[in-house]
Amino acid sequence: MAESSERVRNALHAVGLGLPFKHVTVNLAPADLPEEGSQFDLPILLAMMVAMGALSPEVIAGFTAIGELALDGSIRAVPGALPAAIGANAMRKGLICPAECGPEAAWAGEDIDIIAAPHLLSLVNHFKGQQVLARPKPALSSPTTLQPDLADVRGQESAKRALEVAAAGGHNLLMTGPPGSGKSMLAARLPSILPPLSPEEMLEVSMVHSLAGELMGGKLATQRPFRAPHHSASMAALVGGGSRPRPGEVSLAHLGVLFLDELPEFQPGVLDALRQPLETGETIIARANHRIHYPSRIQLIAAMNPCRCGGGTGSTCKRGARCAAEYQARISGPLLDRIDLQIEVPAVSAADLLLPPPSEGSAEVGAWVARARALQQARFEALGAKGLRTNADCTGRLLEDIARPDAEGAELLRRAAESLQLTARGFHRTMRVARTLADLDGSEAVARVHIAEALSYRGETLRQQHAHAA
Amino acid sequence: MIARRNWVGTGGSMYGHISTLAFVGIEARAVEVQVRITPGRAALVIVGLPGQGGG
Repeated sequence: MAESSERVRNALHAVGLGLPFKHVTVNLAPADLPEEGSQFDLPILLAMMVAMGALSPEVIAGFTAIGELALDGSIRAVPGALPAAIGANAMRKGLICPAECGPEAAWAGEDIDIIAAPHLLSLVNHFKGQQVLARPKPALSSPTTLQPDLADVRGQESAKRALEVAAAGGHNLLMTGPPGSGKSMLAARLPSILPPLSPEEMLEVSMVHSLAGELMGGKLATQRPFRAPHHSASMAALVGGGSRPRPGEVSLAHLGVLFLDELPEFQPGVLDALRQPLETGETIIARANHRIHYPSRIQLIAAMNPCRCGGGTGSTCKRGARCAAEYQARISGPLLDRIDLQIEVPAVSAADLLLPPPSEGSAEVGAWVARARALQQARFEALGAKGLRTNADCTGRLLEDIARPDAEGAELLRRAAESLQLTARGFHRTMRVARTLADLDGSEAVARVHIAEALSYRGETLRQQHAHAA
Repeated sequence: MIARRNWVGTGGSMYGHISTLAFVGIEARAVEVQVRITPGRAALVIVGLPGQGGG
């Protein structure tokens, strides 16, 4: 952090103050916190001005400050203004921050005092009462940014149905199909059928994006995030961390969708690291002397070709079925176990493209999804299951209570468990999905038809090829 | 512009402090910046930051 002292020295000079020809000691306490980053430039300078007698200690007593300094004395934006303002509010202090961060910080509350200054001189003039800086105003990101609509997709009715089920129950989804079958197109349309973010969720999402410095113009995020990192992404880029800790793609997708195209092409270690956020809804980055938690409640949508050559299924691939089996075996069993819906997406024929556009767009499907989600919310509230949002969060005892099938359904499930050799996890996945299907139907009972459809989303071909390859 | 003070002969030590924040995950924790100016060899030393000296 030698750079910090150089920036402070130069910024002081820029406003006509020189460092005294004495020994200046700056201490950041407590010393065991991860005091990384350039946001300490401004507070260091302000404390120095107080020590030099250039600023009265009373005027900054009620404030906490963050900001990076440029050599000319201007105050540059730093990531994390929103969590900083919330932290300042909790400490019952005002916030002094860079002008660019003002609109973001203003979201923390009406009653918090915020001074957002573009330059040291304007900050000093504000303290002197010569040129008062107005309190920044919060801004919402315009919801008019056009989202792709489900009506754009021709054909692929069964894949669209799976997408609807995924949205309704918050289930993870794996799509296997040849290139050009529209997997990415389908995934990109998931946010358009998910329910909008609640005000608390908006704040949660924006906190993470603020820390990553990705809150554009200080506008709060109103749409569910959709993150699609490339398969060459490193561990630090996907999960977070690096020399200066910052949230990774998994955390930036918090309360939204993480889309991994070409799933088997990701580094195996990176894919394994996804298991923790999928299980617990948060990422933990272990550092030398502390651990950092980032919220990461994501819905995973993955896509892959049936085999490395990208060609059709085993029969049409020149290298035969073995090619597909080897390729698919690159995804670990524990990760597959956390994907409730596994479907095959066939190639689109030219005839499909000639079909009239589907009558149901994102608005209609979104309404069904919202209704199914409302049913789940009401059920969880009645059971006093706190913190659960969708069926995908249900496990063990609770799942067996809420997704108990009727007599016919139970009989089908029993037979399927025998003939398909369902594992315990496979069994629970089927029940979770069946519960969502019943919710989409508006039915409290889980019937035979729901079980039957749920069984079709098990991705059994993938499993069998796994078994063959082994 | 801020009036420049004459530091010669002020003697003693001068102190200033302000609160700031460090991020641990998405949580902002309070950190205090303390500055003391003492007579002696002219230098600007920042302590309490990781990655220098003690790390």
